[in-house]
Amino acid sequence: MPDRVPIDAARLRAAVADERYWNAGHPERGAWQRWFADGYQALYSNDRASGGGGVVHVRAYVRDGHAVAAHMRGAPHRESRDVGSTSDAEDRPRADAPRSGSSLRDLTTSRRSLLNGGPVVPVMAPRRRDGVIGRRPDTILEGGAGGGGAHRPSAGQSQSQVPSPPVISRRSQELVDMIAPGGRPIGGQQGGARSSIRTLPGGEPAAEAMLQRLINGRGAVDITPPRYSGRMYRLDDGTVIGFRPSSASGSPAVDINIPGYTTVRKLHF
Amino acid sequence: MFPLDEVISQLAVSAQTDDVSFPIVLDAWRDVAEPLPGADDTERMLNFVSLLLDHGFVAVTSPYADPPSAPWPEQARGKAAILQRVRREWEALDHEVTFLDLCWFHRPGDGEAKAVTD
Repeated sequence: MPDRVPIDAARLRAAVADERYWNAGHPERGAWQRWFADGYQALYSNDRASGGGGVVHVRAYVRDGHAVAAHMRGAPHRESRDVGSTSDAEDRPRADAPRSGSSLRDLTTSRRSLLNGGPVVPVMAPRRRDGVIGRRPDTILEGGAGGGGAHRPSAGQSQSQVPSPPVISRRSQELVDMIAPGGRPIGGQQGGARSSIRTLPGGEPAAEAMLQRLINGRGAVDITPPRYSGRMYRLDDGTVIGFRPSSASGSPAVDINIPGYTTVRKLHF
Repeated sequence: MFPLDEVISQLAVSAQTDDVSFPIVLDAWRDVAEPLPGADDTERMLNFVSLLLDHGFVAVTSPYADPPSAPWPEQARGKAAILQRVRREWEALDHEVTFLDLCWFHRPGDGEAKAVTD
C-alpha cells in the first residue's frame, strides 16, 4: 500500500462528493474537510498566489431538509475549530475569519519555508487504519521525519484530527531516487541492524563520491559546524547532509535528512 | 512492525557500528508493534527512550557537536533528568527532527553497557 495518496483535481472532486465532506452528522466530517482543504492548498496555492484562484465542483445535496444545488466554490477557508463540529458555516469560505497561528494553512507555509521555497508535491497521507485522518500535530509525524513544536495546534483545538501537510517535495524526490532508486535502498543492511542504515563498499573515496553526487547542483550551502573535521551541507530543498570521515567504528558515514523521508537515514562505507 | 525486543535489538546491533541519531530512534519507536504506555505520543516516545536507557544506551551529543559524541551531563543525574531534557528539547523543536537535534545514543559493548537508573 503506498504511503501517500497523490492529490489532483479529480481526487479533490471525489473528496467533496464523499459523505464525510457533506454530511453534517458524519463523525469524520471536520477532519475530512480539513484534509480536503490541505490538499486544495497544496494543489492550488500557486494559482491563488497569482490571482488565478481555484474552484471545486460541489454536487447537489440536502442539508437540514433543504436542497442545495450543485455549484462551484472556492477553497474552504482553514480555521481552527473543534473536531466534529457540525456547523453549517464550516464549509463556507470566510475571508474575514481570524486564523489560528497553527492552522494547517500556516503549517503548509511553514513547510514551504523549511524547503526554502522549493516546490511542494501535493501529496497527502492516507487515511489511517484507525479512521483518523492526518496526524497528531503535537507529536510524532507518522511515516514522516517527526517533529515537535511546528505542528502544535492552538489551545482548544483537538490534536487528533489535523491533516498532514505535504510530506515530500519533487526536488527531494530526486535525492530519494539516488539513494533508493525504484524504492529500493542502495547498499546492504547489516544483519540485525536497522534497515535505514545502509552499508556500501569503497571506503572514504566512495563516501566522498556519494557526497558529491548528493550535493552537486542542489544549491548546497556549507553549514559545517566550527571545529568539525567533516562537512555538512544544507540543500535547496531543506535536506541536510552530513559527512563524517570517521564514524564511531572508524568507517566514513554520510548522514542524510531529507524532509519527509525516513527509509534511508545513514550510509556507511 | 516488529516486537519491542526485536526493535531494541536492531538498535543495539546498529549501535555496534555507530551511534544512532534521534531520528533513527524515532523510526524504531514507530516500528514497535505493541502499544507502549503513555497518554500521548510524546509520552510513549519518552517511554521508548526510557527503555533504551534501561538497555544500556547512553544519551550523547551529536558527532557534529562540540564536543562530539559526549555524554549528556544529565546522564550522570539519572534517567529522569535525561527524559526531562529530551522532552524539553522535543517540545522546543520548530522543525522536523534531524540528526542534529536532541541527542544521539551510544551503546557501550555488552561488557560495559550499564543501565542508567534514577
